[in-house]
Amino acid sequence: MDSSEYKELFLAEAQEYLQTLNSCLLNLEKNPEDANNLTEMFRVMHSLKGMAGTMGYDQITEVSHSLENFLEELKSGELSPSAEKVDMLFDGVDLLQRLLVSPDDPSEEDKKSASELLERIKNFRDTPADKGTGETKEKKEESVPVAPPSPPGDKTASGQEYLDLNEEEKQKLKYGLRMGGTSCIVNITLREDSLMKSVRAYMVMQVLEKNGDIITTSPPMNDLEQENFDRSFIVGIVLLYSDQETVKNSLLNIAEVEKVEFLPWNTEEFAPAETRKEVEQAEKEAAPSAEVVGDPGDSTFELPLNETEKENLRSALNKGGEGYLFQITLKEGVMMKSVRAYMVLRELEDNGEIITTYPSMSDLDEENFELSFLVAVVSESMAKEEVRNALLNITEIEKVDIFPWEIKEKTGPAPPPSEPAPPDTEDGAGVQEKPAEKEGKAAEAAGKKGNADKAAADKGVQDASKSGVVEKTVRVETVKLDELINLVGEMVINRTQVLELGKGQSEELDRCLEQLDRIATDLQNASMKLRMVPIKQVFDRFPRMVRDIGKEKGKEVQLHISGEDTELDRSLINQLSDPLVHLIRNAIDHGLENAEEREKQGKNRKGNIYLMAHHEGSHVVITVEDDGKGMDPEKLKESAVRKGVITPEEAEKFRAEETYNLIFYNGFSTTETVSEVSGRGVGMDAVKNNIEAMQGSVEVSSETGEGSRFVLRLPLTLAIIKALMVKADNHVYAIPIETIRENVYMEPEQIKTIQKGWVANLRDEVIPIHFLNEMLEFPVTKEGWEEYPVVVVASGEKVVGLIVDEMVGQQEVVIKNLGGYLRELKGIAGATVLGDGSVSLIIDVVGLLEDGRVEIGQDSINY
Amino acid sequence: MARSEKKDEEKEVVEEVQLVAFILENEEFAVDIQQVREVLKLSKITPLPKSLDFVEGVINLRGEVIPVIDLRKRFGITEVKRDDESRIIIVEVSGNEVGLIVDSVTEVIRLPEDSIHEAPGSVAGARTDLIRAVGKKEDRLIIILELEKILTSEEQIALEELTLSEDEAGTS
Repeated sequence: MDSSEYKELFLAEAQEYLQTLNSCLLNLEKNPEDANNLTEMFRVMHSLKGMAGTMGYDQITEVSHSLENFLEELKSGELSPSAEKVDMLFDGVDLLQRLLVSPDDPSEEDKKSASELLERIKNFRDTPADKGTGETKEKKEESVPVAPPSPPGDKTASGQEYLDLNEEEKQKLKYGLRMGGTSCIVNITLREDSLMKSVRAYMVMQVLEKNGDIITTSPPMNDLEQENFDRSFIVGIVLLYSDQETVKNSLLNIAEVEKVEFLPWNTEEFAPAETRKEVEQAEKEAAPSAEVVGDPGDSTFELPLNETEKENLRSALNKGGEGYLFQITLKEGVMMKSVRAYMVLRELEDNGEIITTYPSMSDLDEENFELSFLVAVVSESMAKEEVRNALLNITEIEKVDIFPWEIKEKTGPAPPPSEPAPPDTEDGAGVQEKPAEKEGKAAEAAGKKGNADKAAADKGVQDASKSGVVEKTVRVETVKLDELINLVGEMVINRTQVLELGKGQSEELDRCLEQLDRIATDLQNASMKLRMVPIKQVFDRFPRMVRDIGKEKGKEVQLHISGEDTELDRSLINQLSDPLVHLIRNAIDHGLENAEEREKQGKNRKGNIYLMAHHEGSHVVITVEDDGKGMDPEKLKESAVRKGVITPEEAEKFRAEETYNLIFYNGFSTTETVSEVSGRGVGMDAVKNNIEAMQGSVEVSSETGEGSRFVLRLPLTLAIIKALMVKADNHVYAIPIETIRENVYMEPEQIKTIQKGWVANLRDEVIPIHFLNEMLEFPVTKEGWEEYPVVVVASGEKVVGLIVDEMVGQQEVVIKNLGGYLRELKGIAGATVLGDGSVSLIIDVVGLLEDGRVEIGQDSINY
Repeated sequence: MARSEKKDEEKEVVEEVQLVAFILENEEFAVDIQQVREVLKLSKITPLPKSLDFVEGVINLRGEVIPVIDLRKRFGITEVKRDDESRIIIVEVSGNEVGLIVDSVTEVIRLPEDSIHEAPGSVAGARTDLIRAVGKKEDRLIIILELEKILTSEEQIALEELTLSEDEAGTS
């Protein structure tokens, strides 16, 4: 079996796991007492091990297995998470990261590190301070072969006995039945020669999850994941969205599934009393009727709540609210169920606090429900009839039933006496929504875990989406995405041509074209959004980096991140990483003082670095700030002069805020010692170049003794820019709006000639004036100017007025590069195709002004 | 005529090379058809500043921006006014698409492999590194260009370096 198609998937997922591990480790380092981090790490490590095992990556499996065991010992309290151990874990994660480079063929060096790591783990165990570790190990090894129950094999006819439900599962079952589902047992047999049983099992689960609620499996989910089963396994499920035949067919479509058998599942005791019969026969139409669900008096009717929801419920009740259960039934044949559901939720939100829904919100979003759903609301003063009417006003709502919601026992700590028994505290603590979460080992530790907090509950939700219960995201190759976006770009250009051709032909055509125009614009906007990713992807690596550099430099550093959800173009994300690394390293290395010095100055021993991102119009603004020693303008000048970066005369002319820009000059560095971390100031001019290459800018400001701040401004996207279209010598050029300061028309007498060329006085500033054509080294052909249209552009401190023949207007242009054949042309950022199909060049103002030929007015510095 | 057709058919069974032939200053040149993407009539060319002299500019080919090179300028031939016959041949060179402006495109010719010869050794100024091979069809001599070299180097190339006397071609 070819596993290469899974490799990409594996790598992508493994990266996510490592990211989680890193952030958990950082948390653990801060709060060694917080067991949740360990639990989460254990879980992630376990999944990683399982996946690597499936893929046959032995080295990764071995390492993650040892780390998993080690984590378990930490978790169970047999070992305490000392700093050394955390460091070891960090190294372990690093090693895994390296191993991922070529998972099937680890380098000798990595193999060596792997065995060293295993040795280190062993040493920790043998340390006398940590007692009884050998025992644990034995215990575990014993338990492994015992864990998987013998596969059901042929005996499944009475599969029921294998399905021993815990309370949580019972609740789930009851719910499913209440929603009109049919319970049944599916016996799946894989082909004898199946090579990736766990993958197949996973695929089976995915199909089943789409069609109903999986209640339980035998062997349990984690055994399925680890291939601890022979050929067949059984699943207890409540079918909600389709019938057995359909499900069977889709299951048989999965490769290597040999046999699918449906068995009845006697779940009568769980069915709502008066509707048992109905439920069993309930196929499509009977299901959504109110009778199936409505039984307000039934106190055993419990909605499964996670911790967050419980918390919300508790606080809502404390405010004196009452619980209501809304059952909403949509009309048969309704379109856009999710939209209707959304409207319902919004209406209810106005009238109280929504605690939970059944099926879950994401299922509602994904239309994973038949015709009716439940919403649990707590409200202080619910005007039931009004709300009902408001809901009925929403189109396509067939019916609204409101029941009081019995909630007392779920909020109180005492288990309610009603039958069947409520979730016992052990399992109930996590109310995990995903069966896989209930790994045997996790349950073992559940007692210790005690009141699993919100974070764990949130994780549960995340897990749910990972396991495919709710696929909120899909992985798409970037190449495909780019192609789509490109094509949309083409279409947008073509649209303009079509519009021009068709205009005024007939009224009907005009209307069609108008619509086409609108759709194309929407499509373009939608596709541009596909390019956007949260800046988190870059920021996520910094906590770890800051920790490492801080340790290495012996400085105590606290990194504060905010705005990590800010989105920007994917192509920028990659380019953004290096400059930010430089800036943050510099901040730690040069900016922050060491703890003693800080103390002397009355600052907190711990230095702070702030990394912030936010949107500002069509820009993303990223700020890197530290509260270190700041920069001294005089020292900067002195040092710059000494290093020959500027002359003493030039230094005199510098204004304070300009002085800080000196650090961006080539060959400038403020620290005398060459540091391993930040090199010698070569970084800073690279930072500036990088940012400018992205059509962005970087500003620096500083207060001596208070800290420094770098503000990076980047366009949201590089693919489309707003530009002023100008004509020069009959060719149209696009000048990015960002670089334009203003447009003016100048009388010939406003322009003066000095030795260096033309200048004009614009608002008390003398700016040099050039023909755009002249800057591009084209001849200037137009003669007899009555007035000069001047586009004033700026790059950093440099300002130039460009004379064009004509200003055409503003428009959005799609940037195309000029192809690989041409060398990079200074002053040209790319090209764009105009509505008439001709090509227009996009002016790169930064590059254009860098060119030596631009002489700056006398008052400014000569760069 | 009948004889030559028959001959052609025979050769078809054997190996054959297809070429796109074009005219430049009354000389006949050709490029391997596998390198040719398409042949266009002249369209509006947007000039590029600060680029090499022979880079005429860029054109829009179905949304792609493609650089165009004037082969006359490339080979230092005096420019003439372009006319209806002028064509842009879009070729692919080292993975990049480039347009070549030529005086006219004559035809697509099939040549049996045995009528294609390696370029003669450096005789009388001919630059063999710029010539892939020389094809003979009846009494026509067709010079097959080595585009990679011609388009990627920046040195000046003179037309004389590409042309051969009949003698030279015959000797090979």
